[in-house]
This record gives sequence, C-alpha cells and structure tokens, in this order.
Amino acid sequence: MSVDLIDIQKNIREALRDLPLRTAVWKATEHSLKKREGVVGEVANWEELRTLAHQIRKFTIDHLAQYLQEFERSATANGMKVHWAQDANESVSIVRTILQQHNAKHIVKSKSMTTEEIHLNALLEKDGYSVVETDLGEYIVQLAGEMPSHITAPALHKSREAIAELLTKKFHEPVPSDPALIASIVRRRLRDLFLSADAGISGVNFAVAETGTLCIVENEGNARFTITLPHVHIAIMGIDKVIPRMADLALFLKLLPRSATGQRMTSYVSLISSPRQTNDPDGPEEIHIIILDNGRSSLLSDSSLRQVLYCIRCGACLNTCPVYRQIGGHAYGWVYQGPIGGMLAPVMLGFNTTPLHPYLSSLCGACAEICPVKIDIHHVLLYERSLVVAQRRTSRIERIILKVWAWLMSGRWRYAFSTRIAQLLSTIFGKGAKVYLPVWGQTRDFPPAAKKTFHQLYRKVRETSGQ
Amino acid sequence: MKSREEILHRVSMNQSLRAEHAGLPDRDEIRRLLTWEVDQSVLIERFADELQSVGGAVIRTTEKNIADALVSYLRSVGAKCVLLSEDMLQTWVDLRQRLLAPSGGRRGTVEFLYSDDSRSPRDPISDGARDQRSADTGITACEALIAETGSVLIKSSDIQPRLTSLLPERHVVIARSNQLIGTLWEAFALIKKAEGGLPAAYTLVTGVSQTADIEKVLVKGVHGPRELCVILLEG
Repeated sequence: MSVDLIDIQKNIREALRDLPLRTAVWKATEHSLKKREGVVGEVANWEELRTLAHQIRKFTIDHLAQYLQEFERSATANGMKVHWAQDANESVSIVRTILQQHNAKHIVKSKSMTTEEIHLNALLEKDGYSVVETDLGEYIVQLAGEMPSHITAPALHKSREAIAELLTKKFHEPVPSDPALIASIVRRRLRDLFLSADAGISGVNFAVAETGTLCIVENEGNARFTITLPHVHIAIMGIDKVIPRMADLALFLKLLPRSATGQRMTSYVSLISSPRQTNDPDGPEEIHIIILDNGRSSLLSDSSLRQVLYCIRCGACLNTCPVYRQIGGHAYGWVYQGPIGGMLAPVMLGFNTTPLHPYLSSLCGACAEICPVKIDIHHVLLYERSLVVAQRRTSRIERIILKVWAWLMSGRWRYAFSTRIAQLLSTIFGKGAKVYLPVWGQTRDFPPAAKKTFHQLYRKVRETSGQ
Repeated sequence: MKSREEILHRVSMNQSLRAEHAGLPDRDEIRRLLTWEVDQSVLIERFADELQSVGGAVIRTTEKNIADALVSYLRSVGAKCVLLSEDMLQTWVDLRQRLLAPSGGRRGTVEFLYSDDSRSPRDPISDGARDQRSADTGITACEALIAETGSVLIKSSDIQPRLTSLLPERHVVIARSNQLIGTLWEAFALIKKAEGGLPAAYTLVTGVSQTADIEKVLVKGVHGPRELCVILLEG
C-alpha cells in the first residue's frame, strides 16, 4: 500500500503539547503495567514460559508454509472456507464477494487490528455497507472518526467527558459521563444491531493448524455475538497467526491475557472449529477465513526482521515504552503503535513512508524485556535504523556531521584535540550552545563538557597513587 | 487460487531453511511448565476463590438438593424468565418436578423457556410466543471447571445453544465436582481428545462480560452477562 510520508515529527510536537492526552495515556499505561506486574509476578516460571513461547513461535514461523497448509487442510475438512489474499485490496474484494453472495448489508465487527490495517470499514462503507464496530472502545473511536490509539485499548486517549460529549452528539440524547452508564446505553443500542446483522467480521488471535480451530480472545462478549448470531462469519487473519497445536494454545493463553490486560484469563475465549453443526440451535451457517499476507512474507527473508512475525499483539510493549507513554498512539500515524508499530511501519508501509518510525525508541530495551514471546524489539529497531542509514534516507547534514564525528573519534590525537575544543566552546558559550543546535536544542540543554578529560583525571590518579 | 500459490511460494522461498532449529518443543515440555500436582479437595477452594475474584459466585450443594438450591438462588436474584435446555430437565428429574410441575404455587412468577427450541432468537418472533431474548437468566451445563483461572468450559451442541450463556444478563452453570480440573493445560488436553470430533464452538468463560475501555474503569456486563453463578454438585 502506498501512503504519503507520515510526518511523525509534526505528530509528536502536537502530542507533546496536548497535556490532557499525555495525562490520559500515562495513567492508562501505568494502570496496565501495575495490573500486569501482579499476575506475572505470581507465575514462578514466567521466564521459562517466555522462552518456550519464543521457541514455538520461531519454529512455526520458520516452517510457516507447512503450518499454513496444515491449517487450511484442517479448517476445510471442518467445513470452513479458506481464502488467500496477497494484499489489502484483495482481502477487501473477497469480503465484498462473500457479502454479495449473501445479500448482506448490515455488518457487525469485533475488534481486529488486521481489519484496521486493510482499512476494511472505510472501503465497505464506501460501497454502501453499514459496518459497526462492537467493542466499546472501538465503537467510540469509530463514532469519532478516529484510529485506535492502542492495540488492546483503542479509546485510551479519550476522557470520559470527551466520550460522553461525542455520544450525546451522535445519539441525539443526553449521555452522562459515567463509564457504567455509557456502557449500558451502548449495550442497548448494539444488542439490536447484533440481532439484525447479516454478517459478522472478526479477527483471529490464534489459528490452530492441527485442528483447524480459530481462537478469539475478548472481554466484552461482543466477539461472541459477532461470531454466533449472523448467518455468515468472516474471520480475517495474517499469515503469522497460525500455531501448530492445541497444546500450544494452553501456553499462549497463559501469556497473552496477563501481558495484555493483566488478567489471568480474559472473560471469553472462543474456539471455533466449524460452522453450526447439523442439529445445533445456533451459530453461523458459513465461516470464511481470509489468510492475509500484506507484506508479511517479505519479512521472512531477513533473519533479523523475521522475528517481528512472532508477535501475538498483546500491547505490553506499548504500555512500557517511554516514548509511547509520552506521545500516545496517534502520533505513529497508522494502525500499529508503540515499539511493535515502530518496527512494523517501515517494513509494511515502506521506508520511504516511515523512515523515522524506528527512531521512536530510546533503545532502553523495556519492550524486549516485557515481550511475552521474547522478540528482541529494540535490536530490531536498531537494525532498521541501520537500513535507513544504508538507504541514505537520513539528511545530508546528519551524514556529514556523523562522518566528521567518526573521523575525529577514530584517531588518538584527533580525539584529544576535539575534546579540548569542546571544553573551550563549552566555557565560552555555556548554555547558549542551543543556538547552534536548532532542533535538538529546543527541548534540551546542551550538557557542558567536563572540566578535565578522562585522560587528565587518569594521569592524576596514577600520579597521586605513586605508580 | 493464484494468490494462494503465490503466498505459499513466497513464504517457502523466504522462510528459514537452515537446519539449525532446536525443533518444535514437544507437548511434554509445555505440560511440565503448565501443570502441578494438586489435591482434589484444594481444587474446589481454588476454583471458588478464582471465580470470585473475577466477579462470579459458587454455590456448593449436592445432587439431591439441586432443585432447592437452584430455586432459592433464582428467587434470591429475582429471576423472572429463565432459559434452560430440555435435556437438563431429563438429567435432573427433580428439577423438572420442582420447576415445571410445581405444587402450591412454588413456581411463582418465574417463566421457563427451552433454550434448545429450534426457533433461533434472530428469527422473527411469532405472535404470542415468548422470545428467548426476554430471558434474564440462562442455565447451562459445562465440560470442565478450571481451578487455576476460575474458568468454565462450555461446548456448543444440539442441546446446548451458544446464546444461552450470552443473551441473558445472568448465567448459571450447573457442574459436578468431578468436572473440576487444575489447569488450562488439562482443559486443552480434554478438548484435544473430545469424542466425536470438535464441536462447532468451545467457549472458555472466566467471569462476567466486562470492559475497561473508558479510562480503565472496570464496568461489568457490557454486552454479555453481568452475573455468573456456578452451582457445584458435590459427592
């Protein structure tokens, strides 16, 4: 998909000025981290579980073609229809064809990042379909005409007052700013939609190859409605969602809810293996699974980037990232945010569109530490930066500065000379140095050079200790 | 099918082909990390604690007293319209006598609907027929209770609609204590060896429908049930 350059620098400047946003994001991520800590701390072998999960994800991705085919075989044998889509357009046109076959006009959706990625709602709405998001946060974000700002908490950036104001305007009835009342008003409205919808569209958390089972994880029950009531269920999954065995699911379900929402288990986990069986009183008559590539297979060829596909979309790396916590999700300018979003952006949207996304990290490594499948996130980001540099996408002035820097640092006397010059400049200009660092200096003071260099101090220590 | 071939071709070409893999960790290794030995009597306590921590309740009773327990529970929560399957009434004959053939007006104001009625809630309501949508309580059986997480494993079948545990605001599960298992691992082992193949849907229910989408404030009963009660038959 071609997108114009995402101007994250502008986004970041705006986000940093938006104090209510920053407060909301900080509080919400703090809350999630604390809850996670409690339920992760109680698992004595958490590190062993992570290592095992990493091994399973690695093996699966290394043998992806085999597992995708096994999944297709099992799911088809169970009576579900499997479709393959190379990109966003193809997946949307498959959805459109299925909807046309059933003359379906009203569609309910449960939360899915993959459908955000292919801009499914906008494209279907353009064709005259009504598509309603049914996860509370996602519903709010859809009414506001915004993108989700967090993988698992889409409306995290909005205050209750802002939500009440939005719903009052949309519903033409007063909506109080009380979360429980808001939820019950939305429940009432969406219940009718569920009962009258022609088709349900969902994402997939895990697709079990050996049994052809779709695993869908949620808390609200909206996904259960979406995949139970309408006659047709369409599930859209990336090629990376497949796992080998039912046994693996036991492991991933121990890791995912704890990492994502700090729960030991989410309220509902649905394991869908087939359409409604002969005498079943409910369930969809048809289930269509769309397996989407959309650039994922190209990641496989690079041994450093391949591990991005291990991700199980828990969102823990967002919560812990010092950059995400300051700027929130919208600054990233597309559907995936935080460290995982920074990693995915250049490889899925192209380096020309998102050359700066790998730089949205302090490289502190908190993301890699929290990742339940042990993706070496900050090293992947660092690696992507090296690709940005290799592709000569950095500014000319930056390249010159770094060349000079490398030259100065790589010679004994050049180094000694430059530290002296730095000391001299530091005493002359003091904090006024920001004048010479227009962008960098806007939010930082230039640290003064030390009065004595390390070499000077070292010599002195040796002299006084008499060696 | 062109896309299928192209995607699989790209994946096969790009995926790692080196033979350095440690291999797929075998099931025993997962089992070793996910299970522990527990006494059956401890399981009940653990299950009850876990379920309570996620907003559910446990009523411990015996098979003999099931009807009493259920009726007094339904009365205490003010249930008016209850969904349950005909099959359950055959399993627990007492229940049928007590609920459907009441003596001395015991049935009170509670109305019972068969959940395995062939009429789906999404079909238009026929005149005069009460619709399942109006039920405030749904009663289901279950496949297993998982102590580790306080979860209830339910499977869809011809006698167990998926909506009984979803449409009404209150979900009641009737379970036997020998259905208690320790861990998630055991639940998935059970699913794996399901007789007659996998059902269309398994649902792992852990607590009530909830959201924290607005300022991380926990709200219960956003789309599904607000209340969950497990009636556990011991002995």
